[in-house]
Amino acid sequence: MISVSSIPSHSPRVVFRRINDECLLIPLTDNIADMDSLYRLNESGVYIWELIDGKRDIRDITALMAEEFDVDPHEAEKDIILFLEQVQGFLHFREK
Amino acid sequence: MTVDLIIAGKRIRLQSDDGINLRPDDRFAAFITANRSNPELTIEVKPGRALIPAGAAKVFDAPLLEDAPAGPRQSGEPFWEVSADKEAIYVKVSLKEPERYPLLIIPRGRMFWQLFTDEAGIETNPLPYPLDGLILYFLTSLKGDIMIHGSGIFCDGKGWVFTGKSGSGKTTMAKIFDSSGDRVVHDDRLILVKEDAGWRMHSTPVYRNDEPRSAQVDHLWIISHGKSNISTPLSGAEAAGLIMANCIQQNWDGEASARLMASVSDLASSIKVSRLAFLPDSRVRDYLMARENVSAETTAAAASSLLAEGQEISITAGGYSMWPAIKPGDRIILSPPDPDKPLKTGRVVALRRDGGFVVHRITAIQRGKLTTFFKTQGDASMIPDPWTTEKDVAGQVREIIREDKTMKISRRSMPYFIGSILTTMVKIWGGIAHGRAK
Repeated sequence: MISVSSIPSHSPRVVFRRINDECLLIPLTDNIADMDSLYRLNESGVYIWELIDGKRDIRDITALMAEEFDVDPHEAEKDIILFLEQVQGFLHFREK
Repeated sequence: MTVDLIIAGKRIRLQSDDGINLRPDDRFAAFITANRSNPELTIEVKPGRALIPAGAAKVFDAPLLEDAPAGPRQSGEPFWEVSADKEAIYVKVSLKEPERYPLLIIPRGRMFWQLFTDEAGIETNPLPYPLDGLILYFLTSLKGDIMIHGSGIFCDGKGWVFTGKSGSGKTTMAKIFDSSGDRVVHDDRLILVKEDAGWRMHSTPVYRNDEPRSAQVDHLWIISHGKSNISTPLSGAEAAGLIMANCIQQNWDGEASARLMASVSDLASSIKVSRLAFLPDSRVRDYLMARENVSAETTAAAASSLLAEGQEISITAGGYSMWPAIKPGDRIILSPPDPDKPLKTGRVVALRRDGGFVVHRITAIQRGKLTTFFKTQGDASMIPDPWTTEKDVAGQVREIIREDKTMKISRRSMPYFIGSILTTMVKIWGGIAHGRAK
């Protein structure tokens, strides 16, 4: 269960690539990049992905995002958790 | 009286003698048109009863299914049946409350059909369930269209068809997209038609408030419930076979089956086809949108950049040019070019071409002072590719995975003369077998 105190970090089983203005997550299966299972991130997805550093918890990410995009922190938190659930196969979570 | 309908872009005219009123069910209301252009099919509706000629043979029997706790089971009662003779196809339907036996007569090669509704009086329902679906089935079959169990949606500029066996989640999928505000073409049954601009899906009248809807088809997904959202591309015979299994079809007519197979093969080669295991909530919509909108050029550019960094990648084979060494649907593992191990003749490599990759075999190498030149060709191609340089080689095939089996790729293509010897032997064997049969 992802909560506001969860600290996400990138899984080593995914690579992030920026190609022609598109940002892609490419899963690695047995250390082979699976080009048939690409996942494209939208602008806010990229922003969240790049804030994930294994140190910030979701509360920190929410605060930064709410400030950057000038959105309501509650709304931002909901959107961030929804996004993290979608890409949770590409992340690790730990609690503080 | 005349009632003109447009269903799946097909104009159907129902006509009756003066004094007989045609009253189709409410579900056809939105499909009736005032436009009196020439119809593709005319059905003459007569209120009386007609019998199947004694000489016609029964070719298909669909007994009535009834609901039971363990799922639908055969009730033992008749529902509809198809008979045929040289002149026509006869479709007899068994209805209750009141009991009646409408008969549809489809004269071979004619788009002027007859329907005896087996009702007395001056008013008749020409399209009671399941007769309407049967009329559409025979019409789509004759026209080379595809009638399929599936839901269809239009999302973010893309048309997607979800098909699968009963309980696979077709209706669930339509609900997920409907609640996100996307356009649902239909959630149960679609007719797919090849039009000038490509394949298009159309709704058919199934429910009371149905209306004509249509959308282009970009991707067809064979769906099933899963523990996460995962899609796997399909191609060639596997894609066509899985689509075929979900088409509405009667298997008694070889010509109709051949027409359907040809249409399904065309569909499978014109649009993307994938298997999709999904979780029944809105995440599948996000997943599909994220996957669908990555262009082939971007994928190839990402693949090139990963290979250039020494990362192995996998792609799915889409064509027949390397048959039988590589078949459509095979997962190809590509290794980065290794500067310490120069490429040799016989190796299979991925070349950058037209914004994507072509996987072909090296047939000749010329090493210049600065650049090495490669000649390549598909094992199944008659014509060699133009000479290329090592700059165009993105990677080489390490192995392929076919139906979960890992296979090394042979260093040599099957020489042409062996292929021709095999063909000759098959011909001789065929001749012997034929001789025996005589």
